[in-house]
Amino acid sequence: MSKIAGINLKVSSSPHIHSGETTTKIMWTVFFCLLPSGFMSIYIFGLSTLWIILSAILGAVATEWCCCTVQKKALTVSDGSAVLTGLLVAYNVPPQSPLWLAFLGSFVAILFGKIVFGGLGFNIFNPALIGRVFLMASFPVLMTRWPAPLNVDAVTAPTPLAIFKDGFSQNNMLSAGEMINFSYRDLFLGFRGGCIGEACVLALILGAAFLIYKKYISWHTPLSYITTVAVFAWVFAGEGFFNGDFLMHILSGGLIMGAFYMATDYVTGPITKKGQLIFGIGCGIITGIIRLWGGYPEGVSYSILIMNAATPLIDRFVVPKRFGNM
Amino acid sequence: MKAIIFAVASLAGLGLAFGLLLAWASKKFHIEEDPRVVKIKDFLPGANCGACGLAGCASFAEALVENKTELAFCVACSGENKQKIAEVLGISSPDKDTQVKKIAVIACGGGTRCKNKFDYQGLEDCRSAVLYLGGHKECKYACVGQGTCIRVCPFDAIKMQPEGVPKVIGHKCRSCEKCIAVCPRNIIEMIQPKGKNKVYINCSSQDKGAQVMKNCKVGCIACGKCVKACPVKAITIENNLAKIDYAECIGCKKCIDVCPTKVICLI
Amino acid sequence: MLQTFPGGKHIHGFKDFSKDKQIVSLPLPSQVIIPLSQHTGKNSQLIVKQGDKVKTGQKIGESTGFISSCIHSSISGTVSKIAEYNHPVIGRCQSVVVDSDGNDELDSSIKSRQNVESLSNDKLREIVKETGIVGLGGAAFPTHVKLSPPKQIDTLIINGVECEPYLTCDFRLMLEKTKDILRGVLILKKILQTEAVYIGIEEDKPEAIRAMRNKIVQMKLPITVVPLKAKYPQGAEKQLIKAIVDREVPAGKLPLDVGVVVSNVGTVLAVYEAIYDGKPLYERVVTVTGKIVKEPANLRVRVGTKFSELIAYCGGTTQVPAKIIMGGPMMGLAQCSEDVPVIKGTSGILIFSEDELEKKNEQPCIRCGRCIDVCPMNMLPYALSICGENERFERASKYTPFDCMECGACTYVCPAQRRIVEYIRLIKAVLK
Repeated sequence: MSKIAGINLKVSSSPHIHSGETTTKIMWTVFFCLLPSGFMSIYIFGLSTLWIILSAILGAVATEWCCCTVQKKALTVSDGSAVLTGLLVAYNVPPQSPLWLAFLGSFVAILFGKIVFGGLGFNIFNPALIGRVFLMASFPVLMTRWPAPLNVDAVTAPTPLAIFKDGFSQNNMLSAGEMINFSYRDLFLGFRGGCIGEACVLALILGAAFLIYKKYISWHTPLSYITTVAVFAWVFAGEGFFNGDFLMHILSGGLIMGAFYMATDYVTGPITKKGQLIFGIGCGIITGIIRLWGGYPEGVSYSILIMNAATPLIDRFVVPKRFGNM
Repeated sequence: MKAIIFAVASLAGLGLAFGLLLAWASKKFHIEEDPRVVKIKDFLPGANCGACGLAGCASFAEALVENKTELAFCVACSGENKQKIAEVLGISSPDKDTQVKKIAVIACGGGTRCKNKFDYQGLEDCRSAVLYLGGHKECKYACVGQGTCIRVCPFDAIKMQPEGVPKVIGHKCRSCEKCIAVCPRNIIEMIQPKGKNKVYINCSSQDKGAQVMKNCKVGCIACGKCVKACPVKAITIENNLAKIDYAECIGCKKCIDVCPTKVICLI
Repeated sequence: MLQTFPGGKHIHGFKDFSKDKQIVSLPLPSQVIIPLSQHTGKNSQLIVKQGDKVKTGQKIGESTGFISSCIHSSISGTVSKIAEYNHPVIGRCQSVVVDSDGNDELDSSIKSRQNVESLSNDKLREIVKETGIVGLGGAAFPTHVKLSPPKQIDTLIINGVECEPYLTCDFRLMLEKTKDILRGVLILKKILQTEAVYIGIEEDKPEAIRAMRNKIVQMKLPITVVPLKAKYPQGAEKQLIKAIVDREVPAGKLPLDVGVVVSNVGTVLAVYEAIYDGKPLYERVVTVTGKIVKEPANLRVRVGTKFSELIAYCGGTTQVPAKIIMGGPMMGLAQCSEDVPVIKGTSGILIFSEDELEKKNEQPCIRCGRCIDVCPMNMLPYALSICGENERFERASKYTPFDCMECGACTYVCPAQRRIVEYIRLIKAVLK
């Protein structure tokens, strides 16, 4: 048979072209979209924030590298998922916390959140949230010490949600505006107590808008999540019904970061758009319940983890209608 | 102090209550298992190969006791163990030691010695490889070498050779025929050689000799030398391919010596 | 809002290589290799023997059943050999090798007809069958079967979508043979006795839409040109029906079950030529294209011409080819050599160099859901790929693998570069 210059041609299955989209590209894009929020935090809470972020990323990458080497698997560090997990863990610890805290959080996130399940694609729970929940359970004091914004010496500035909750539970019948000294503008720009990443809502939304524009995340989960929290807060959070300060609930705490960057995680969320809507509503309801009546001021991480567990169930029952099946 | 006592007492109480519940449940829902089933299970190979048509060795053991299947259906069990199972069941062993074991052979030795038509870049699965232009080997009877049979063998009896074709390790084969079911080329066959030297034709090509020579260095070219060399006339040529009649073959190895392309091999 | 179907994905067209190249006829080949299997259905029955003299358009293979087709010699000359030969789809196939005498003498049965209007529908179907016309879009389904529906058809859709990247042969035909195509459409309309006739063309081919519309107005025909969103796989039969008449063909059923017949523009032209000129299907237009092809072209080629002759006519390649594909890049078949004949279903020859090939690095599924978004059949490709990877074929059958038409959209978008189509093909092969 005649061959071109004696070389065997390659035969593989169609399609013979590819969109060029890769897991690596997606992970690094999400990473860069998260960076503005980090820069804002460095500005608001001081340079020590940068070291926390770096130590968390180092922890994640080192853990992943060690695990791949021990398991004799191909190195997956460069796919960016470990770096992203590290960054998200850093965004979930308070500013001014010791460097080892973030490092340990990342270690747990990668090892117990990802590697033990078989690596990227096989984990059930969001690794970064596993890291955060581990830290919350093990070091509750360190994890709830909030420095005041723009004033690194004052170490005890409670988060808006905590103020709101305490004020409410003491039956202090003050309106939200009077009770909290934060304006919506401060909340929006990030001048308030809180974890590193969740501070600046504006930066988070800008990054998320880019991701949605690039279709790296879909709007379904964040929209249904935030809307549900807002409705829940409006109905139940005020005196009586239907006069809760829902804007405060949206802008404070980790809701924006959770809704756009954690609940939208491909691996641990539902795969269909309809499933994502259900997932978001479930997250919203659980967040609302924890925030208003639970033991913690914040419920985003637990609500997402609980809904992660429900993901296989949602995927099983929410499937698209097959073409030609009337 | 009071709190500690309360905690200890309540935990102990709970433990006791659940323990009693479990003890009651195990009595209440106890299922009597035939002791013979347990014994038979010990003698079965435990590979759950499914060649008997049942889900696994455990269900085969149950079916045996309930007389719903026959011992002969198990192809993986050694004669010795079958004897023991027969004793447990109180029946005579279906195949004493006289029955000759069937062995699977992969009748292709091509691999790297058989020319490639193109560079196959698809899935590592033979059933997938044959879908693209009928496989990447020039010879349309050739093993495509993706190792699907190796993966399905429950007894680890098939090994990939350095030449890129798998080979059955005779003494490990338990005749479950799973490899035959997955081979897309249908080049795996069961043979029943009697003698100590188990010979087989390591080629499946029905192409004419000249075509075979062009495609492959180790193909049967139907030259007929083995037919002449065989003292018991056990070899015939059918469709350009030598064939051994195992009822006649005595394992004298004379055919191996005369074969010009070394197609006749020992297991 | 342009009409389209749910799912799918816009893919860059790469049509600029050949879209402005006029169709030219390839010089007569000195030898043709005509496989006896060029269509869906049973192989044709050989009716010539070695040494026979044949003329261009002479029947050399008789159809062997209802779903089968005739095969004709594409040149005049001598049957020099009847043997197994390379085949672009099935690898090897019994083929008739004809050596040209250089005269290209037409068979005496080929005569143009004057009295087309007076021919009965049965006679028209008979001509379509005798001239060996099959669908030229790629699947090569015998056209006379489509034209003999067991029940009344109300809609005829002409497929001018050509959604595969790189290919331009249908586009060129729509520009250059507008009138003949429309007259072919009228024949189909007459045979099927349909009311509504649509021509679907993607909006990124405005020249073709304009040409068709102008000619329709000029000829005062009851045909509607429907511009469609440029999205792959818009040209798939079921998706085209969904887009134009909003009917869903049930799983496992044919378009005629919803009262529709779909035909490709190339096929329509072949029907026109068969009816008016009596010309059997022995040549077709093939796009030869690719970044490394020196002079990409749209060639009118005799069936049985070797790929190597087409490539040589296009000036060869600037780099060593690493992959030669028959058809488009999404559903085309990679070939094992240049020494393969053009068959009735060859819409294009696409050549890639080593640098253009995807270096696939398959990773675990990250459940991003892109495959579900693009799947035109609304299946769950990710689930099938995981079942295939783990050889859980029983489980895979729950995900309706046989609905898949292997369009490749899922594999094209998968960021984990999973070989989803291959897994689905494996599942189908095992479950069959």
